[in-house]
This record gives sequence, C-alpha cells and structure tokens, in this order.
Amino acid sequence: MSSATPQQTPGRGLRASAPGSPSATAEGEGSARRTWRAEPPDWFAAVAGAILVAIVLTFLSDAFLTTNNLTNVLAQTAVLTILATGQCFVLLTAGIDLSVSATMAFAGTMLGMLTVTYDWPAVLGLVVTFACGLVIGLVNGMLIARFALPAFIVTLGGLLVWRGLALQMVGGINTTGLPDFITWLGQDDLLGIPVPALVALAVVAVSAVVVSRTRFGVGLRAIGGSVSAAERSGVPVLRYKITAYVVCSLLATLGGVVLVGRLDSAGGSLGTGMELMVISAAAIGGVSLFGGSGSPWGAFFGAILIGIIQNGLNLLGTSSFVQQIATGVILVLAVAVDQGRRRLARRWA
Amino acid sequence: MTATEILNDAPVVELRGVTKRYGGITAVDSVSFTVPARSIVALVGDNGAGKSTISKIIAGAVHPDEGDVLVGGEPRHSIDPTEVRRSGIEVVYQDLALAPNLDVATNLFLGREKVRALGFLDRRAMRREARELLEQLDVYVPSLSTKVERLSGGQRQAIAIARATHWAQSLVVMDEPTAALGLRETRKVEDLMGTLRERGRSVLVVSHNLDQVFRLSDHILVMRRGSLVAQFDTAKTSTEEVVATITGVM
Repeated sequence: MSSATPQQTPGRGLRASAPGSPSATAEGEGSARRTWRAEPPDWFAAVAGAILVAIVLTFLSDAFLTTNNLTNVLAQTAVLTILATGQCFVLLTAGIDLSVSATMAFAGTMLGMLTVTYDWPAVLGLVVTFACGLVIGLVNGMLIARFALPAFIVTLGGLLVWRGLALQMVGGINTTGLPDFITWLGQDDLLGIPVPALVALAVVAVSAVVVSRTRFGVGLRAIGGSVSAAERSGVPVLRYKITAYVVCSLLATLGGVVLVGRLDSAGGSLGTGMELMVISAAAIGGVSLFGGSGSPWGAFFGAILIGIIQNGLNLLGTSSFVQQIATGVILVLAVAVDQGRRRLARRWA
Repeated sequence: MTATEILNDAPVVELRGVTKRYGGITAVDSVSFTVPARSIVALVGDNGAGKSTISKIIAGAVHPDEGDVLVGGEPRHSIDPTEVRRSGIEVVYQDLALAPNLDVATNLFLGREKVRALGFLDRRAMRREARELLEQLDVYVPSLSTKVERLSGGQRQAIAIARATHWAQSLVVMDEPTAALGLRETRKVEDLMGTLRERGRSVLVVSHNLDQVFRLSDHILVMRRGSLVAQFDTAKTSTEEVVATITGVM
C-alpha cells in the first residue's frame, strides 16, 4: 500500500500531502517493515552472553550440559531471579531498592521464628511474613514517593534496619526444622523441575505480563521515562510508585521464604550483600538503571547468566573469589554491550 | 471516531477578573476575556507579559489568587490538571509532556489506556484508533511502534497535538507550539490548528510569531505587564496596530 505513496525519508518530518488525500497513511506497513522496526529486546545481550558461556562451558566440562546440572542452575538462581524481578518494577520508575536482601533475610527469619520457635502453622506464619513484607514496601514507597526522600538513602537505611532487626530477633542464631511446606517450596521437584525454579518462572511470567500489558506497567515505564509527562498525562504517579516498592518488597519476602525452605535454615545473615547481585542481574538483563526500559524477562536472563557463570566456575573448581570477579566483569561488559547496541540501533533507524 | 461536535455557541472558556501574584509581582492583573466556540484565539505580548501564566491557569497548573475561570459557563474550582482534562480542555505543553521512551501509540493513550477484561490493555483497539487519528490528521511517523525519542521535533509536536486533538472536547491550549520548528513543520502544526477548528474545537495559542497569528487566528488578545490591554478581531486589525499595542506605543 505504501509503494505508490510518495514518502519522505523516515525520520525526516511530516509528509506534505494534502489532508484527506487517499494516499495518506499513518503507517505504511511495507515501509515500516523496511525500517528498523523491531528493535532487539532489552535482554538480548544477556541471552547471547548466556548461550556463549554455555557453549564454552560445554567444551570445558563434561558435567555442564546435563539435565541434572541445568535444573540445578535453575534452582540455584531461583531466589536471585525472584528478587531481580521485584527490583525490575522499582528500576522501571527510575528508583532503586537496596534493601531487598535485608528484607529477604528479615522475612525468612520472621518465618523461621514464627513456625519453628513459636510453632505456628505454616499458613499463619506465611500470612504474617508477607504482611511484614507489605509494610516494608509501604514504608519504602511512602518515604520515597510521598515524602520525596532519595530512594538510595531510604533503602540503604532499610538495608541496615531490616537486617539488624532480623539478627536481633533471633540473637544471631539460625533456626532450623522448618515446616514441610516451606522445605517443599525450596527443595522438592514437581514433574522433574525444582519447585523453586517453577516459583521463579511463574513470578517472571506474571510480572512480564503486568509490565507489558497493563495500565500499571505502562505507567511505571512512563514514570521512568518522564515523571512530569506521566503526571500531566494523568498517570497516578504516587500510587504507582508506592505499588512498585510494595511489589519489590513482597517478592523479596517470597525470595526469603524460598531461600529458608531451600536451606532449611533461617537467620539474619541470609544473603548478605546479595542486593548488589540482584541489581547486577537486572542490569545485565537490560533493565535500565535510569528507568523507563527493561522487562522481568531481562531480570530472569540476567540472573541465569550469573547463575551459569557461577555454576561453570564451580564445575571448573575455581574459587568463589574468581566468581565475584567474573560477575563484576560481566556486569560492566553487559551494560557496555547494551549501550553499544542502542547506539547502533539509533544510527540505523 | 472522535467525540461529538460542539454545536452550541457558548464560550468554551471565560476568565473573569483573574489575578495571579508571585510574591510582590503581579503576573496577571485582573484579566477578563472569553474564548468563543470554534475559534482560534492568539495570546500575544512581550516576554513576561503574563501569557504563559494565563495558559497555565486555564490548564489548571496554576491557581488564580482572585477571579473565576468558567468552563462551558460553569465556574471551576478545581486546580487538578486531571479534572481540567475531564472538562474537555487539553494542553500542549512547551515540553510536549511525552514519554520519550514509549512508542507513538502508547503516548497517544498515556493515562487513558483502553483496557479489556481483567485490566489487560486493548492494544489492538488503541493502535487502530491511533492509526485512524494520524491518518485523519495526515501526520506521518515511521511506525506506531517508533519510540518518541526517535522522532524529529516536528513529529513530536504533531504527536502531542494529535493527542490533544483526540481527547479535547472543547479547547486546546498551546504554548509556543512552533517555536522550535522549521518552516515546513510549522506549516504542518498550523494546518493541525485549522483542523481543530473545523472539528468544532477552539484553540488558545500563545505565540511570538505575528505572521503566524495573522495567518491563523480569529481573535487576538494583547497582554502587557500582566494586563490585557487590547482585544482585536484579526480581520479588522493590522500588524502595525498589534505591534504598537504590544510595545505600548499606542
């Protein structure tokens, strides 16, 4: 339909044909296909990196490409995936939550204390634990969105407070012997797939739909792109920002539940320093730290890439220090690749 | 596809004795005027004359200290921009208020997305409506999926105006809509203003460009130091007369 239309070069302003002329199309389908229409997704670099690393590891270690090992990677990265997905909601609004691993530790400790020390039924323990996560998210969200305190400071404070509180509650001693349902969540298989991996996948899938297919998701991305534009377009900025922090804290709580189930041990030192890994996973997966772009799938693939590298270095018998170095290098590399890709895409458009 | 044409001839907006002070400075001093239905009204004046404050007051972004703003004959009390939009007034801001990271279709519906059951976006319906809108206004963009940050200045302006056109029931307020545009893109925006009038909407445009004002407008309001010093029918005045009023020679 566009072949007969005298079109200007795309990106060079408005067409000058008369209003109402039959050739006037807002979007020439043919020409649209010829221009760089489908940008590669944000998580492109992470997937490419994961495949590359997987190929290299397949040659370096016989143990890598086995069903057993790969499901193991999924199970090991489940908690990281869940937390990175939560972080994605906050990052989309151009915010940050440094308190996720502290929230996770607090939630896990709370669950352990309630169900083991006080012998509450698992369901009741879970309800109270998630209520705590909700309150933490509301506090973060209110302080940041309503009272305009910097997200970095609020959640850095939260990092200290929640972990300190977790350590204080149980006197620094871990509780063990968690209810069967919790350990099932963390350790068992369902149809041959580890339950924590299934939980993580469900979290990512639902979150991805929320981010791309709901008004809330569009609003989050608009806020990250331009708060003032979002506000003047009628996006409920305050409510959406608070909700983003609540979702992040609730997923951190879920991560805590899965983690204590996996370890069958709950205490204030769970996942110390993991917040940086969480933010790295999201960034590696193409979730912009400046807000407005990225998807939960990016958080997932970023976590998987980190997981594969750690797994590979484990298989090769490298020290955990080297794993840390590798993750740091990958983080910078992934963001550099992503920037380069964007620049290229812009040039070709 | 657009909403009902406005057929009655009541003024879409009326200001009565509107005053706005910032500290000791009176930015707008007891200004009264009406914007008639289906007309383009130009607001002109030197820098600091109070034009932008007037447009912000109508947009609901600034609340006057004294006086009333009547919309469709009813006094308005709210200063919430969302309420103003609901009353049928759209604003094309100088910075356009588009989200640069989102695509054209998403921006056209930002804050007013169509949803299906369970709150899922009805993307197909929105894209169809967006395509129709841009076709009708003869606005060209590479694709509805193009991010706004990839568009030229003129294309962005056209998208912002298309959005206002789509949602406005009575009035579109534009603050210097062509200040940053080239000749051809300026023409396009001027065409869009004419289209708005044909569709029964009014336009209140703040402009420095007197050629443009004379080309487009039905009425000209001249402001000087916060006061409305003259109102002209464009057909019955001259550039010389308007310039003299702006500078205060007359």
